[in-house]
Amino acid sequence: MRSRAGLVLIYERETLFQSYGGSLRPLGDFSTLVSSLQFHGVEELMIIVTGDKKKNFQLLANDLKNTYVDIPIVISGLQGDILNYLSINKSVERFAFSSSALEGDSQLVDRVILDCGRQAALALLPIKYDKESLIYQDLSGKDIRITEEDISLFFHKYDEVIFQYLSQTGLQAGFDYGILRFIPQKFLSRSIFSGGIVQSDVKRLFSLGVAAVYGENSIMHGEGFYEF
Amino acid sequence: MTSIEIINLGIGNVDSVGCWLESNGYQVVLIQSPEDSDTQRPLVIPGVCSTLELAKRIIQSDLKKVIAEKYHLDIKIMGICAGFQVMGSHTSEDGGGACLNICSFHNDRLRRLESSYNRVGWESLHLNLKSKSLRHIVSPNYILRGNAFYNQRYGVKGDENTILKYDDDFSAIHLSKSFLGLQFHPEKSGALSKTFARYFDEK
Repeated sequence: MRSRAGLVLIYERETLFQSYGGSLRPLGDFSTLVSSLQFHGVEELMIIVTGDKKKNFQLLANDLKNTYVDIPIVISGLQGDILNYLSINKSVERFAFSSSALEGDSQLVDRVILDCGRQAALALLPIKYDKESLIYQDLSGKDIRITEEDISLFFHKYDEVIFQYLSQTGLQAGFDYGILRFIPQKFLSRSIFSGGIVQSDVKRLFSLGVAAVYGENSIMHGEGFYEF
Repeated sequence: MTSIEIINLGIGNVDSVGCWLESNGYQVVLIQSPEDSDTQRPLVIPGVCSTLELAKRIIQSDLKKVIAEKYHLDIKIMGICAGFQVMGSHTSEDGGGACLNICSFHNDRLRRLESSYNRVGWESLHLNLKSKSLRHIVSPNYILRGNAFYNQRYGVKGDENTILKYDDDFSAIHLSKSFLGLQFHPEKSGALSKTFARYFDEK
């Protein structure tokens, strides 16, 4: 099974945004975006829903009913809300959990695993790192150290884990390979990396046998960002 | 316009499959009970769900008899991923349990030697459909090429009805009567998606 090339987008009020240089840049509506995905070689889409979750999940569900997307979609931003899950669950293939993954709020995660199978549940870890360990950055800005045991538990519970290096997100800075020393080799084939990915990183990370890389910036600035 | 039924029991990517069929010119009818179904209409059983949970809901909703009747009448049925696996006798997923027992295969954890593994991602699909048994699906000499998207932990072991299988002996494409079981997701397989939608056009 070869590595996959994905794209991270943010959804709010019927508009898709990409992280760009520390801010969000609007890319347009769903149908506009979908028509351009093929040119860029995007193989899966992770959509992070922000803002008024109830309203935006409903809007996204409507968009997905009206616009056919021929690649798998991963959804993030549910934050344990069962109604938001129920509004979107028939239109997507996988679910990425961030705060729920770390804070043990697993009721919705368990529901997703029961309904959709374990392969549908992913952990999304916004991280940075120092000399000692990876550090999870929660929404309030609080730092939580991630031990090797934590990493094993994530891979036990979730099918794949997305490591999103926040300080590089939206920049064309290149991927920071220092993250890799905290992730055991045996888990690389189930790891997805995101944050500052540029074209040379795609090839290098693929050669390491990672599950996927997710771009969030350069991808929309030229055709064929992902070349195989 | 051809109408196609999709089983809609609150799990699975029903709307993704519906969108795929509509974008290929079909009319979609979602069915939740036998009263919603027309015996002569083709049917899709979607995946992205636990096979055991899907089997329970199909049995509880009485849709098993709808599927069985269509199967015996040779009405086209497409089972996608769990929707393929559920047609077998049983599954070992979620502690194990009975499935619909319409086909004779069963569903097991993907395993190579002593190790279990998952198949998530894209794999090339090269398949020359010249064989006689396939002529009622697509035209003779038709060749499938492209990348197919998989998202599976469990699978069906290849048997005499397997059209394409992997080196681990698990089945990618299965055909018995007019039931086409696809382990990958045709609705999420990029350029290949259009090809598989044509299954419902061919005589």
